[in-house]
Amino acid sequence: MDAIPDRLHARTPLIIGSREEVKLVESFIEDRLRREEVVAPATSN
Amino acid sequence: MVSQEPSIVPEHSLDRDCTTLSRHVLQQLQSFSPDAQDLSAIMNRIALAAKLIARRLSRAGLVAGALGFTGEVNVQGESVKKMDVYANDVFISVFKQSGLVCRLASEEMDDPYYIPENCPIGRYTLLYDPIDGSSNVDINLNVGSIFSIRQQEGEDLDGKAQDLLQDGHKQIAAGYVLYGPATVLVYSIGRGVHSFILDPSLGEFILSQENIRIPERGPVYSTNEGNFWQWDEAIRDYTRYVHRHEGYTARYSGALVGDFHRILLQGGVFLYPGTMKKPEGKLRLLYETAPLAFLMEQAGGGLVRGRKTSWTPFPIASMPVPP
Repeated sequence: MDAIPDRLHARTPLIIGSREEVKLVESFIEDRLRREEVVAPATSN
Repeated sequence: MVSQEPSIVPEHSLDRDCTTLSRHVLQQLQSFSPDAQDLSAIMNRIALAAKLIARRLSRAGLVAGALGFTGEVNVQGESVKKMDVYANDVFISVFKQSGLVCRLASEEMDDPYYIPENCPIGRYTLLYDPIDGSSNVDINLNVGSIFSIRQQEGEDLDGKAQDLLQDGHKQIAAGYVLYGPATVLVYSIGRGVHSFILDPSLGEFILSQENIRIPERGPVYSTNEGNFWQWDEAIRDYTRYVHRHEGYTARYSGALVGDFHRILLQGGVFLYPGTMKKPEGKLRLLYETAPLAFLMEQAGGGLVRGRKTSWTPFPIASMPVPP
């Protein structure tokens, strides 16, 4: 709902459904993001 | 003399039979104002388009020019199916003389269709995917149409419809039609999600379910696992999780509307994440994602928001090489 297209035929990923099931998917994404953040400083040194 | 015997037809059944789509919209808005009547009339026109498309689909294997490809490629780079063209034209024909919309924007057209100056012109824009999952038509599986209504902002003098490049909150209404065993129309004008079934004997969409709420949890995960090795690790981890835990079941039809409808009624999650080849995914924001997000929000469901779905945090280089 918050995504703003940059052209009429813009595409976007979609993950949608029951609140608890979406939260479960989000937990995996958050976990991945955390791991990326941990790795990123180490690789920049 | 009228009999006092109990009626064999329950009263609520008669009430439901009398609740047509256009009447329901007016009831929802609790108004007969010009705006309410316009919105009701737009929904009525969408219903007419749905009936025409449903009729064509029901005879698709019997009439010439209904199945297969046209030989052309659309703006998305996809082969155009004959039913895509037919359904796209149906929406234009239905709205051209209506005086309700100024433009129609469809995923099948490079640019919006502007209502000609010699036709009555309205102030709304209809955005739509005329046939979602059109590859299912040739094998007689369910397909759908998705729609969204927005009000034109500004004059759009350059004819580029830049005012449509806004978020989903600008939608006034959204919905879809599912052409399955029954033809079902689901819509919301921001006051709950409601479902109507086409009664072929009446030729009317009759109220079936009001204020649909998606279950908090559900057993179904719906995704194209053929893309597994194209996904980011987070989505692959999630998929491994549901494989290893009891209670989950996979359902994926290749038609977004059908898969979404199942999730809406029974609970679960639909995923079409970005892939290595297409980080932005496959689904069109204005014609597919935003209308369905509008409905899901109204039904009390959830969606992964913001940068989490953009996949930009995950560099392509980190994607695995398929074994």
